[in-house]
Amino acid sequence: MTSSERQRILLVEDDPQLGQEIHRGLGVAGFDARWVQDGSEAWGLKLEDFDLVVLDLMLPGVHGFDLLAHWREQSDIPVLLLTARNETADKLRAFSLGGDDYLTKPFWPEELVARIHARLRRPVLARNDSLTVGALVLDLRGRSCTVDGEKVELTRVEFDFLSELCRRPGEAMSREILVEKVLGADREGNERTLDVHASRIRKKLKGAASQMETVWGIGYRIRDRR
Amino acid sequence: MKLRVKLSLSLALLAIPSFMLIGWFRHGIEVRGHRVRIAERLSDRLQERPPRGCVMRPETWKGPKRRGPGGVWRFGPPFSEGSRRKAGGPKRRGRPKRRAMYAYNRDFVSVNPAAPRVPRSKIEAQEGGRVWFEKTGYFQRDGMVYVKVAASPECQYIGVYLRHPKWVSLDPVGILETLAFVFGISTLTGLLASLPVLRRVSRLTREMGNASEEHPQVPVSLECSDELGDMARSFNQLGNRVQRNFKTLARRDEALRSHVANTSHDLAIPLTVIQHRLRRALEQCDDAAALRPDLKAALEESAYMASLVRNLNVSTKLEAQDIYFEATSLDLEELLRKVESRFLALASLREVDFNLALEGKVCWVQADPVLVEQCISNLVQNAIQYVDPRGHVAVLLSGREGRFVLRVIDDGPGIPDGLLSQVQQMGIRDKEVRGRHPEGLGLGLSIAKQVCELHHWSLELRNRSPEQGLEVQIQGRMTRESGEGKGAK
Repeated sequence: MTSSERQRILLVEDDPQLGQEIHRGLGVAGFDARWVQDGSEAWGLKLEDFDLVVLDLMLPGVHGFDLLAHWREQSDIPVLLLTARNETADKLRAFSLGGDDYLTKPFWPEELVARIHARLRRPVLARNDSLTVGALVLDLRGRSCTVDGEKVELTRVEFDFLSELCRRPGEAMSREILVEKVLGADREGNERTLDVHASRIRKKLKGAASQMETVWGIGYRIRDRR
Repeated sequence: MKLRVKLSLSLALLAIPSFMLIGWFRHGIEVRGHRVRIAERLSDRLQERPPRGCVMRPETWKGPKRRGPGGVWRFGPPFSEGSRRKAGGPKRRGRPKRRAMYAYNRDFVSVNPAAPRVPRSKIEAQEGGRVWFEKTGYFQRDGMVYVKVAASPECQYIGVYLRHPKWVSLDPVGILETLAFVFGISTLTGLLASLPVLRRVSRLTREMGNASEEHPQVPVSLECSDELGDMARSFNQLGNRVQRNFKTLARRDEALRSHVANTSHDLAIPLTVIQHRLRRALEQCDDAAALRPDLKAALEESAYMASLVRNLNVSTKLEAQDIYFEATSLDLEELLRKVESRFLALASLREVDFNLALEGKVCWVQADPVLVEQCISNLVQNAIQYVDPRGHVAVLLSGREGRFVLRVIDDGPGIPDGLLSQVQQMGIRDKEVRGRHPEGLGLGLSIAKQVCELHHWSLELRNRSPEQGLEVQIQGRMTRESGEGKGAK
């Protein structure tokens, strides 16, 4: 991935040790990060050059809230606030000023990266008639399923089951919810019935069966990788 | 006893003797009038036709042998035996038993030895009067009516003994009028006296009730020189003392909170740096390196310290919940995603399979975001830390009929049954919670319990089937439930 393809992050953090660690961590995570240590310096920056801002609140020069208010007058770029103050009032103020997320220190590098990814993920506005998850393709209108282009015959319940999982790839769905959505009140069945259907689906998916995972204590999940 | 009741009782205690006194006084007037009327009628009759016995036999005459007029008085007999002069004894007069009249000359001296003597002073005082009445003694209510008849030298005056009427028919209208008048005056006086007092007491009570917590004072207008004014002044002085103490405590509390916040803040940054560097060191470390277990242990300890710092901050907040509890609309699903992102790294480090199951709906609750995030974080962290490597932790959220159910389940060792009830009951200050994992139960669970109580949510812990771990369940009310997807937020 070239530098131009990488998403650009503006990091405003005054602590040199922490700033260095975050900056390095963002680079490792595949972001193109620019680190600014002073609020006054950050004040004059153009936000169009960035995809997201990680902003510390307690900054020298200009306070983080003032910077946020200033930026919100000109841009809607996602701003993730970073602070050591775990106060509800600060959190509410941050959201009222237009902050998108709030992360309190101490935090793990993975936590910050996960939050950034969550904020950068674009919502899908258009309704798709088909769902593609790894090798699996579901045609919702035609109610058909293919794995690596090869058609798989599914019953009505099996198709509903798979489509529910494919609508939220990577997320675990509880057996209780799946029974309600797939089997429904008018169809007889319970969580054991659901497990039987899952077993049959796995057999039919053959090579893509590993995409469908059993999640301990919860139910099932579909992964977009085999 | 209320002041109104006291005043009413006092009024009654004053009014009853007053009524009795007035009744007695009125009765006395009626009796006197009655006597006067009888004496005048007697006088008219005796003057019109003086009794012959008075003229003929003044020394023995005791009055006519017929009943006296009116029926309410009567002539008694000559003085009783006790009144007769005994040989050698002092002259005593008793009470006549029946009618009795005596003849007196112009000097009020009777030739009849049974006739009572008339005091000189009374004669002079009544000289020239046609008729007058004289009580026979200070404590006697009977008396003599003296009527001027001038029938003979020895019968110039006739003294008629009158018994005190046992009952005089009083004029009920007059009595009622008097009573009504007295009652009216008493009531008016009572009202005039008590109403301003009651009004001031009511106002003082109202002002005391309305006095603010920050400034517990009543208006200066209530501070008069009387007892109520003293009470108002005492209240204001007490208010000043309370205010001073409150300010001192608030300053101390603020200083303590500020100290904890600063300490948490100061600790948070180096802790983050330590976590990041340890994480990096672990990534760069070879799987077979001898240093790897130490790095993992150090990272786990840093995670524990991070949780401790957050819990320290939250427990300070909980201690002052009245002041700092700030509820707002909160999406539990979004919050759980944040908690998941926080603990995925720790779960991965401990090789624990950590998963989250949401319904894909927005689940709104009215809650303090910082407290609730820490509450759920503590439950998840406990679960991750208690399960063995390659164990499982799952968080499930569901919402039905206006209520949400949040379950944190694991396949760890669970909690011994004997300890389970103790864990459910413990408070934030319990000594047991100060212990450090794995020896102690941890501060986290007690904070979670307190946060749930604060939000009126239920928190239950139960061991799943034997050897299947622990389930912690939180249930509470949702403020509203939206349809699928975040677009509904």
